[in-house]
Amino acid sequence: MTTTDELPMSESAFYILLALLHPLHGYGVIQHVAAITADRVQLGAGTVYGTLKKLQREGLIALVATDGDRKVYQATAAGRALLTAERARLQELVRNAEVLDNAQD
Amino acid sequence: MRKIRLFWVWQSDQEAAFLTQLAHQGWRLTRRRGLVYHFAAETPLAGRVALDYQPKAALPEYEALMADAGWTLWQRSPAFGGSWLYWYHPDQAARIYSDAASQIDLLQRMRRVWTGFGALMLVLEAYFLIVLLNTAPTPLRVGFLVGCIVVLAGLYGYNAWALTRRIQRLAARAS
Repeated sequence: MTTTDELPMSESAFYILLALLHPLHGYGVIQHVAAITADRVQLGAGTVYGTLKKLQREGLIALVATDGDRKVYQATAAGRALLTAERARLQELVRNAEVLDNAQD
Repeated sequence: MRKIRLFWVWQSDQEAAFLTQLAHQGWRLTRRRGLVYHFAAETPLAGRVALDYQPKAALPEYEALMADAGWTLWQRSPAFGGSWLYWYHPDQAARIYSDAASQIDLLQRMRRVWTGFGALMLVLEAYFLIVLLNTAPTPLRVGFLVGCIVVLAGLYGYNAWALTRRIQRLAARAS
């Protein structure tokens, strides 16, 4: 499966994977994403748990540490590659949307 | 205080709303056994109850994450190797599942477990019916068994259909 098969990423999945560029546990991901989106994106704990399991299964994140019952994950090289591909897609979108600035009423 | 209610699998949202309403009236769920819900009196709460189904009996990582996010586990009810989990959060706006994809995952989980069980029961009952027809069939026995099959197929079939409809609605809204 090539990287582009997994695009577009959902907003939640994108932000969860982005947060995991640095090692974080689940609640750390929720807090980080709320901080970088000015509280617009409030991830549900169940959503984060399910996505972490899925990303781990797909090799996009790896378990890096355990702290009691809390597990700490970080994005793998494959995860970073997917984020880069998604960023390119989003940049193309935004670039093409700039015609809005020139649109007539 | 006890209340007796029957909530089917596809009515999990109604069940959560029922428990939330009681919590607002000052009744905290302490136990659920089958159709019987037990409550303890408390000062009226302002939050909300939400239900989740996880396919394993114990998930320490999931429960630690839910607790970190502010959820309190009020009740755990085993079902088919997994558990229904009754969670409470003091913030009315809190959601266990914040996007369509993960809500769909939950519904698919529920559909898979319950339809799988329903299919298994149907196979068993079909087998019993065949045995019965070949040994000592009477109209009463055959009628009873066929009745069971019809009711079971109806219930589990309706459940699968109702959950599928919710999944399709979520998927349509998300795309």
